[in-house]
Amino acid sequence: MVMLEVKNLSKIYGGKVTYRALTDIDFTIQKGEFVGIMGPSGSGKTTLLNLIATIDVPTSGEVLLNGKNPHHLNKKELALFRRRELGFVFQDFNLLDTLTLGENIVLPLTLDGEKVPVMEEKLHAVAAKLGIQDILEKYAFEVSGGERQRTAIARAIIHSPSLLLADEPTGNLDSRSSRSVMETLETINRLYNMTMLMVTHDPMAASYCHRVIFIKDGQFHNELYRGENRQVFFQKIIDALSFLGGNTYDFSSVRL
Amino acid sequence: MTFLRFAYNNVVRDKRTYAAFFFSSVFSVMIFFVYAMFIFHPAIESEEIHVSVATGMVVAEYVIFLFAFFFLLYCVGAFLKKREKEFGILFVHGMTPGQRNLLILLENLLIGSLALICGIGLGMVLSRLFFQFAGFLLGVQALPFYFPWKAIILTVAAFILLFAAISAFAVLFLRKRTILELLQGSQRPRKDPKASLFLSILATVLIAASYALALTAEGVYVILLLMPVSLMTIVGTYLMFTQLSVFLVGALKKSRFYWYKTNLLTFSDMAYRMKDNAMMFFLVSIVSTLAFCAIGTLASLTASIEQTVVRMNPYTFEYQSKRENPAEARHLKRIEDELNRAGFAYEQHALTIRVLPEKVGGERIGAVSQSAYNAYAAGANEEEIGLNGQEAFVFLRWFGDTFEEKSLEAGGIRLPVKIDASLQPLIRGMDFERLAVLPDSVYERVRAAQEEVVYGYAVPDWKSTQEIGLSLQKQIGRNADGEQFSFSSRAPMYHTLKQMANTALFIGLFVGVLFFVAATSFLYFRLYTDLESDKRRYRAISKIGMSEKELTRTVTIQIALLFFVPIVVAIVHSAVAFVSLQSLLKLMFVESVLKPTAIVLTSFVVVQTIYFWIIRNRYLFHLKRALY
Repeated sequence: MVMLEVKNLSKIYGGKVTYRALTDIDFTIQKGEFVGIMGPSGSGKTTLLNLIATIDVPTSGEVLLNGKNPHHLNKKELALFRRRELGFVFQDFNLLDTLTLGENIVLPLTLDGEKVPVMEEKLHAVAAKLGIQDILEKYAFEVSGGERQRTAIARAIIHSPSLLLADEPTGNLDSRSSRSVMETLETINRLYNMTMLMVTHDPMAASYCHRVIFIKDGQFHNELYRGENRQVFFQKIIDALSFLGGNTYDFSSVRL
Repeated sequence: MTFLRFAYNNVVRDKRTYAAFFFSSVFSVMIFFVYAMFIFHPAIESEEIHVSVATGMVVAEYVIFLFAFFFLLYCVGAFLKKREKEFGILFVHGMTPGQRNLLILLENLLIGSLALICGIGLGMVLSRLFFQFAGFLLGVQALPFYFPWKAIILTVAAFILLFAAISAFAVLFLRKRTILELLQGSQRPRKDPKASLFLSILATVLIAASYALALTAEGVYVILLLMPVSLMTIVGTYLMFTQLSVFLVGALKKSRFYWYKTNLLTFSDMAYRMKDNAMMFFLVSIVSTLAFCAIGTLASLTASIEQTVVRMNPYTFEYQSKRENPAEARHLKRIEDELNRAGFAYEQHALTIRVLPEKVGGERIGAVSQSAYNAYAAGANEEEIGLNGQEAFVFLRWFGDTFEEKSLEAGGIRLPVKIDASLQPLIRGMDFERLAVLPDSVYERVRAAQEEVVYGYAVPDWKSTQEIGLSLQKQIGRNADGEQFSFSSRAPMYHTLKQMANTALFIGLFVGVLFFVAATSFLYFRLYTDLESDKRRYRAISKIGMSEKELTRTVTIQIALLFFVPIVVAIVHSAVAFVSLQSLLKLMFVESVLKPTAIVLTSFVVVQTIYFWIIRNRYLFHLKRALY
């Protein structure tokens, strides 16, 4: 079953110098699939994610989630759409400082006016799955980066969205935390059959995906499917990246 | 966590951000409430306190309310700007615009309710003190405490309305940004601030012109020019902060001075800071100017009341009577009896005035002899009149009064007229409009159409004659019986004026203090908004190698500018205003503008300096703790 369909998606930034960020991107994601998007800096990865996330508007083409195009919705419907259908994980976590981690996690339910007992039930279920039940009373500045990112992941999935979007989730983490965050994402994908789309620089992170789409200069380049072995997939990603001719920065985060 | 709980957490867990805003709100509520307690006080209904006091307080209530509205609106706007990123995150998680507005409303109502409870509570606690102070200033017994439920209702209703309105307006003025822009928050690259040369010149011209006008205006023209000059100054000040300052910093950057030592650091940020803070600078300077002017004027008026009253009533008691007045002897006896009974030492002086048979320029002229007038004037410690032989001294009664005739006919002789605008007549006539002093020899020959006698009682201890004065006024009446006599008493007039001025001072003082507190919390708020970005900035710079001493110097200069630029502008503005007001106040017999004003301004500067020192040290402490 197709969960996400991206058709002829293009984005041109106006202004004094027009800039073509994305050109005719086409792909589909099946339900339960975990897809990574890779590419050199400035290739349009984050733009693509923002367009799918409905926080940016495409110049042409369309995004269909469950067959619906969210860009046709009005402001309020769009907010409800994001609230119910999408989950977000950011590179810099974007947790609110004034809320405890537990309160941060239930935020989407709070905005949806969910009943408190239901919130608590869901909170404890998801926290137990992600192994963060002991830090729910703490604040973001009191825990490690890995814990923060797992909290952010919990927040992104507590309302069972149709699609989880992650923008460089390991970008601000050390290798140990990166690994634990990626394992968390993998667990969620398996456990909840969650459809996930992740933008990353990090070949290690990308190796957890089922499939990796490479884009370069705003255009589709190629894609790689993971076989049985993650180690082999990792190597294939490295090869693809070097073939892509990205700059050295793209390899800086290689960890084995 | 329900939505309500979420709003609550946002406020309660971010105390430092909201502290200044909260305290300003509490202070506004408190002052508003205390004034409301006065307005609804039973003592005012039962007329123990003059109604004008209550009226003045009602005016003050409006001022406080309006001011609180604009001040709190500005604060809320600034908070919302600071929270852009937070809103971005919330929008991404599916907050609708309606929910954002509801969140802002709930937060404001929460802060508002807390401020109301604290402000009213504090007002109740301090009301005893306030009432005592008011009683002391108004010269009455301390007002008794009462349970002010009317005042509470008024305050609560007014401020709930205010906070709700502020939320609505703040949302209305919120700039439309896409979620992407919101998420980038304050890290968005900023455009170099630009200033227009034309507007910078316009600012200079406007301020220079309004200063020139204010300084050269004389007397009544001050009133005519008041509105246009104030308007010009306000617009000029606004342009000065938004355009001229940015322009000057830009010019400074091109000079050599800019490259000298830490100047580069100090001033590189200045154009941004100027532009960011322009609105605040503008508001603080205008508000401070208003406060300075109001308090200075009130202080001068209060300080010169005694002078004014003595000028208007040269004698403690004056009894003026026409020739045919039958009650004269009886009334005079009563005055003397009262004075004797109370044991006051006194001196009686009398002056006879003959009204000339012919009108001059449509006015009846009352004539007195030089020797009699001078004796009367000497009794009141007033200036005597000198005549050079055969001439008549004619008094002008007020500023702008004229006497056109070059000569005056009296006792069959034409006398040349002498005029000195600086002297005021000591008596007002009952059957004549203008007073003239004639040489004794001429006066003897005047055939009077009517004759009046003024009896002046000089009591050295006149301030204690309040009770006698009131009782005599009651017994004699002021000028009853078909205006055959008039009676006036200095002490009751003095006390009434004193009470009015003290009321004005009492009201003005607290409104002024409110302005001041608000202005300083603007600054506090501004600094804590900048602290985070400063930490980041100086962390980077200190890595390059900036010493602690240099850091202290740079930060001190920046904070000092923030604190003293608006105050200096306000002081210059109000100094000019006072020079101009002085010529107006002179007409109201107010002489001493300089001293009270200087006291007011100096105390403001002293308090501001102390406040600056505390804040600077706290700020440096926070900054250094983050750096070293």
